[in-house]
Amino acid sequence: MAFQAQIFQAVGHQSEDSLATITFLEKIGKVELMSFRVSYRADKGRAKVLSREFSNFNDAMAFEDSLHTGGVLPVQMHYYISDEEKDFKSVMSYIGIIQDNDLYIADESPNASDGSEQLFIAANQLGFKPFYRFRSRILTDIKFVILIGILTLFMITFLFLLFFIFYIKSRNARRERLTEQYIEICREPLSTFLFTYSLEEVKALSFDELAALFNTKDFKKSAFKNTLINEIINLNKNLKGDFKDKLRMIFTTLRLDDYSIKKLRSRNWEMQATGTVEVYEMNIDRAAPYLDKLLHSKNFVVRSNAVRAFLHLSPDKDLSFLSKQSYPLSRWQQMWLYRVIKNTPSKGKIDINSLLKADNESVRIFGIKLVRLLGRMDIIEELSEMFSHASNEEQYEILRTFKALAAHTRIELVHKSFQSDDLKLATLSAELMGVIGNEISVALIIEKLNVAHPFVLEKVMLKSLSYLDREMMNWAVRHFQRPQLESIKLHLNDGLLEHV
Amino acid sequence: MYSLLFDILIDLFGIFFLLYGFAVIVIYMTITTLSGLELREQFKKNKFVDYKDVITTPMAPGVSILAPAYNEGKSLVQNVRSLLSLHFSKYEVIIINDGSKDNSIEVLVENFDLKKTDFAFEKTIDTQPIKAVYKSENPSFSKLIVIDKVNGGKADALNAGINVANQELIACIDVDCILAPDSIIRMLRPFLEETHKKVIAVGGGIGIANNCDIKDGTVVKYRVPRTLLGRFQVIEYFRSFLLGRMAWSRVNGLLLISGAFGFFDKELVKKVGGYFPPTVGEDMELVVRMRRYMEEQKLPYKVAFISDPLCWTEVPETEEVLSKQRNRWMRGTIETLQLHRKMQFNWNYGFTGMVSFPFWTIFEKNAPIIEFLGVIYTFILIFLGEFSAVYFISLFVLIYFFSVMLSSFSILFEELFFKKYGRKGELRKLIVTVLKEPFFVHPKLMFWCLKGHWNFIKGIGGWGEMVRAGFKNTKESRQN
Repeated sequence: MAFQAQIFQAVGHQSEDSLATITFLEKIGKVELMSFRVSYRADKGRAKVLSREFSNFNDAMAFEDSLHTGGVLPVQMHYYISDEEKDFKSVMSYIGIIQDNDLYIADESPNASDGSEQLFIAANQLGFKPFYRFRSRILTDIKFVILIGILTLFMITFLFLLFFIFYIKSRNARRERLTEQYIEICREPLSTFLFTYSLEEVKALSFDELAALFNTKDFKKSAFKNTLINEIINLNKNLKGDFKDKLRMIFTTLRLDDYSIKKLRSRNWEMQATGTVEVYEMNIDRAAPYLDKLLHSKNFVVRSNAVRAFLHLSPDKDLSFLSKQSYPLSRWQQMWLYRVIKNTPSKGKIDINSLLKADNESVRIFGIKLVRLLGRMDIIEELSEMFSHASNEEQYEILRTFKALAAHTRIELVHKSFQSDDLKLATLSAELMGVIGNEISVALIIEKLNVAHPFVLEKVMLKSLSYLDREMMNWAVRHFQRPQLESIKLHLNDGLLEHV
Repeated sequence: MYSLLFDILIDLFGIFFLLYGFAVIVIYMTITTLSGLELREQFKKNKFVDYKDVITTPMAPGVSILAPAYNEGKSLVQNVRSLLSLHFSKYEVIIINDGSKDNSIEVLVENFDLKKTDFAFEKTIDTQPIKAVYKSENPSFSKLIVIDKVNGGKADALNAGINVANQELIACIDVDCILAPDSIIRMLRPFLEETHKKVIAVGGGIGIANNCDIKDGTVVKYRVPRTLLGRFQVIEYFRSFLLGRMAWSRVNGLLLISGAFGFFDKELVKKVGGYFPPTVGEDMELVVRMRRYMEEQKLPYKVAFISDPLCWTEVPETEEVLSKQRNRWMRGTIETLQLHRKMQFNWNYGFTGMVSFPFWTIFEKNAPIIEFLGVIYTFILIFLGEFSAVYFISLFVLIYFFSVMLSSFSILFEELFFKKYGRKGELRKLIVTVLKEPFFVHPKLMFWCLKGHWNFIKGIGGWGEMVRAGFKNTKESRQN
């Protein structure tokens, strides 16, 4: 072909490579980033005309051939790589790269002459669908489906949380507003009853008369009742005497006691606990029988509150129910119970003995503490009797009780426990000897000081010795010549450290 | 051959990261559930307690509050006054001046009428020499004891305080913390309530005081901090106290009680040898050692946690200070886990050895390293051309939403149970912080923690300086 001859002329000795390039271009037609144009002189004029751009080499060749055939000469093929015109040498180099890296799609269009046309026609009649489509790839990749599933779940949860947070916030604000409204409704009638009405006048009021004064349609709503109960309880905590009686009268006349007792019968532990707090605070003694079941509740909060309320409301202040309790009595419960007992007018008559005989150790310990805190000297004898078979914890409490009550008659028992190997018991005994000790105590302490002991015991021994016989203490420190005793003596002599 | 080995390694790492990510999601979801249950229970229980009833009870144990102070002269008097006005009858305040270079001791002596005493105590735990123990001549300050000692660090100062303490329980706090008036009785409750196990320590929730209004030693108005770093720490404290510690407390697996506010059984602390001064993570180390002791002695015990924010502290709002703090926390964690590595996956240490300890090793100590490896792994995949953008983006979004979801849960819990940030716009600011945090704060945190690892390896120690802006509003509020 004329064009090939032209090329060979141009590139001379590289004719073989040039031929291979042309053959390659003819074979594949389209090359990535390459385009072609043909230039010629139109109408025998001087100006060269450039054809349109061909992306397929074969189309450009066909156009060039048509110009030849039409007698338009001279014609020339122009090569463009990335829209930039290149000489044939560059084209050869570029094609070389394309070939080396297989960056082309072979033009394997069916050749009618090879007899496979029928096969292609048949293949084209099949319902072909591409196997690798993006969407199907996602759906068939189980890992990806799981990933997207979890992601969606998290996103939904986050959005839900966001909504929920703002919902909770607005709900809380709504509730607070409602409670404030109810408090506002309750405030005036309550202060009227308390400060305008006498107790007799309040007693004379019926439910309807009282309820009418609140002037609200919400009276039957539990939210209103709960607010009213809280308001009454708050006032009850801060007021005394007649006012308390009036508040209690209002509480019962408005049948709020029934409402509280109803809570005691609920299955929900929160309701039960709320009910016990209400009957305890408002002194609703008719609720005592309902508390019986709750005394042995599995729920700590219910049990604690029920025990406290029962003790507060039962007329005889009988503690025997505690001695039957199988659950250990925590120190927290003991604190609560003590507070109830302390505020009981007849606390001196409380039967502590039943507690001391309980099978439950924590109940016995509570009993011992009560002896101490209520100053029950009449039970000292019982404590002495139980000392020998008591547990360590009980023995510690008994000694503390003896100290608090200055149980002088128990000094022999104290001397005995002072000899114990149990450091805590010996220390408590030594401390007690400082209060109820005698000459024998002094001798025992001096004897024990002969050997070095832990700091805490030596400090207590010297302190007790200083109470019993200051001279002996000074002598002991001088005599035993131990730096620890010296420093303790200085500490004991320092007025600022009296209670440390 | 090498190519095959490399491919296998790449695959193995891929599986490891997948499993790790899955474990993180499962564990934190479990933690969220457990904390929700625990918070709900505590919230309900609290409704039935009137702490005023028991504040003056003679049956409660005494508490020694230990507050080490180092160069705190400017704010010390105010802080001590606040500590002396807590609502509880049986407590003492022990201020330990740990060799301050400023005028801390002079300020204390002058303001509280202190006199040197011949205080005798047993040096159960070895400490730096004590120069003097002071008591006040003024009966109004009878609860106050001041120890002046040679500098030895926070742990050493606390040990000196433990030696001098006279009460059954010790409360270790940062002297510049603000305690709620009823904080003592609230913290005592777990010690007194438990009947089947010995409660060895109780941790308390800590709130962030930056930008809040403080009056008479109590936060009266809550505001979120002004800076992103400050706000991020509010969220972080929610996550830490309302999610993490509540959940671990529910399953009795809590390993860390913040050094800023923790109550301990004094006798047990003495038995285990007190705080360990060489470590910068002395708070965690003590709890782990106490747990280790109880497990070895086969004694039933519990480490409890109170979610109510009873203590407020100022947090750093500059990158410089925060980076030092995080670096130190990481070193402290590594040191503790190294010291007690015997407990790791050891049946003899029960739940602590089999669950809590490994959790801390894998998901707290090693988390920054694994995250860093993840980043490198991603770059290797890109280099090898095996990187799937679709997977990467999906995983990234997944982790982002997971993190955002966790933080949102912590905000929800705060809103449900405490409602401290009730002002208009506060909640919105917090949510915006939650959305920003993974991009703007988390990478820095990881870097600081990695630096902590590096410093630990290189043996670079120390506390770094905690520059406090001071409770700016405190004075204003008090003047009003």
